[in-house]
Amino acid sequence: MELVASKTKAYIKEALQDENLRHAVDKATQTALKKRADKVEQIPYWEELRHKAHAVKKEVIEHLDTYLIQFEEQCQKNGIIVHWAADTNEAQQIIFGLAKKNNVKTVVKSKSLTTEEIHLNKFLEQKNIEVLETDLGEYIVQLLDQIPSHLTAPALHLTRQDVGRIFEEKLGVEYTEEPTELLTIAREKLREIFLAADMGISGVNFGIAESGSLVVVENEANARLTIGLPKIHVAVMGIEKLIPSFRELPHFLKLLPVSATGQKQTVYVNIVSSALRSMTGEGPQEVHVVLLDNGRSKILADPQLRETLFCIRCGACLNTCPVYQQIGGHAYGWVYMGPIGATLIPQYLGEMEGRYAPFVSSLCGACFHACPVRINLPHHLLKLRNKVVESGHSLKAEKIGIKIWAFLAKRPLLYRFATWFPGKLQMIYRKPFPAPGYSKERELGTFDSKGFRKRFLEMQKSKK
Amino acid sequence: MNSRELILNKIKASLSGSGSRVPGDPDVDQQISDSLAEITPENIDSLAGQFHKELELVSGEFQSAKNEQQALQIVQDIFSTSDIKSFTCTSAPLPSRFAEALKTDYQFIPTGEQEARKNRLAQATAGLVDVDYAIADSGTLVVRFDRLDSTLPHFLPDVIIAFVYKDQLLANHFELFDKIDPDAAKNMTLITGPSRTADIEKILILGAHGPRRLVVIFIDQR
Repeated sequence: MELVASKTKAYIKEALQDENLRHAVDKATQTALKKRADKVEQIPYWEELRHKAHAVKKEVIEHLDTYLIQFEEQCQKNGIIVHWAADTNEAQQIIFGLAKKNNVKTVVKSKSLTTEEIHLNKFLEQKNIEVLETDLGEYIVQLLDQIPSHLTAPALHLTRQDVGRIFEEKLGVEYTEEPTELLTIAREKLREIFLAADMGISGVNFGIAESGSLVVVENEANARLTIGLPKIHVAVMGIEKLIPSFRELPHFLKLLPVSATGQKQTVYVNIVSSALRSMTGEGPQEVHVVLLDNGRSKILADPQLRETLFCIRCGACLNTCPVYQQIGGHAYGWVYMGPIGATLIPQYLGEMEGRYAPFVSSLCGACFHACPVRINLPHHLLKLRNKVVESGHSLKAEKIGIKIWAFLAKRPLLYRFATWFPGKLQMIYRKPFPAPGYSKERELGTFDSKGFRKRFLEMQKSKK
Repeated sequence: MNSRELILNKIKASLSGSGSRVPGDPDVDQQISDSLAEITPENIDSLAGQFHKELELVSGEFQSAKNEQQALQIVQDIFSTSDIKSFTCTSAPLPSRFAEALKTDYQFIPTGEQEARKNRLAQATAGLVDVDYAIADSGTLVVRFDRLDSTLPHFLPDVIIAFVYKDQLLANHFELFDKIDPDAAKNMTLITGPSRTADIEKILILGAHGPRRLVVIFIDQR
């Protein structure tokens, strides 16, 4: 299922009518929020960690060229082969080239949003290479031909009954909605494939510039098997994922799991700096890292918006967002969703394609408070709204509304009349006024007969 | 111009006007360090107690042994009560010695020949492994691979039995990355509990693609 960010409005409508989805998303986000809050309480230096992580990411992003060169040099010293991909097409071709050279028939993948961004599965499948997602949630959404609906919980929008039906239909097994049985089915199926796969493709949570290391965190051991079993390991990494050295890693290892899943630690933190085969005689004989730009260098140009590249993809801003809680991830129409997605969509895809995303927010600020690296998301959403308006791609109805308001605001007498009149009319017509488009899903509310101006003056007086 | 130059040039152009190195805030570092000092147990026995508690919170199992002889006895008990039919181990001295003692009663699968190794080790029910460090404040095991002949005994079997000596305990991740030589950390895994997933309705299930059980035998004396 190909999602398109420009269809966000239609997706939101669909999502709001899907009770099953709303129930699943609500349950999952509320559970995640409770677990996170519980763990944050146990870390008395949580706020200091957030400040530190912000400073570390700021240092890296503002000197990204220097850190990338250092990372590349160190990787090469370790024997990791470094590739640079300017865009989706180049990244796809690099990976396909490696697969072709090594006669790869089957690829196992561990969860990686960066590879979703470059549509890698579809591309490799078109080249007759079998690609299997191995994270349970990713495996489920792959069977459905969907993309993840959450940064860390890909199948968050599905209930256990949904998963039972998907396995019954796609894998030909007997229906069960028992989660342990569903996991056993997936584990057995994927274990065979792990042992036979020729190439493992992973993402990277953190690249360590000083030592040329890739850090991949996970819970299922699927990333470990993806990294450690096939003969070729390809890691796809956005150029923004660097941190300077191992000294900064503990801060992020504390922040990421608490924010993502409410765990104190993820089960596995895998650090890879060379081909295992050279040490143990098993697993990869080659490790490749593909450094992906795909628009990131353009985002760097804005001194404020470049903060969106600090993101460590934990998903905490999604869980806490009152809008995401209602519509889930697919409604945003791209691989990144929720408040951080809403900032990335127009920056990656342009203001035309991403014209709706920055408006899919209540600007309540909860995302900023949840963000482990203190990205000021409400500020950036507002700035991006501004950019959409300046680019001329804002909604027609909104443009007309603002024009009418501006016209009245410049004419105080007319403005007074316009804010007084609806209240008076409301005294005769007692139901909410019809508002085409708006009142299909909700009511407009009724106007106060006093009008805003009079009520405001009364409030001012009563304060004195 | 190749893509490397193209990307680096774009970055340089985008960052033109950015200042020099962003200075770290020494106050924040100090506050973190003070806070850690306040909550970290002072003596090794309290650290061991914290490790025990944290390990169980992540569904790991904790067993205490006075010495290696007692540790072996615990392994034998686990094998006999857990329906373990076959086992493997890493090349580290302690797991290898224990394997010698156990292989008369249980099928031993050596790491052995490389090409067939993964398929063979996938048949093992249990894996005996040792660790380089253990982290008290999260119940984490730290395993460096540069000293071992195989990584797979840590991940493929259903039951992992890990040996931790008391003197390998560290307080937290900060101490680990302060202490460890960066070269020694280059190929390493930190393990906190048995593998798990909560991808279906956020319901926690142990034993995703890796071990379903993680037993740590904590040995007082070498």
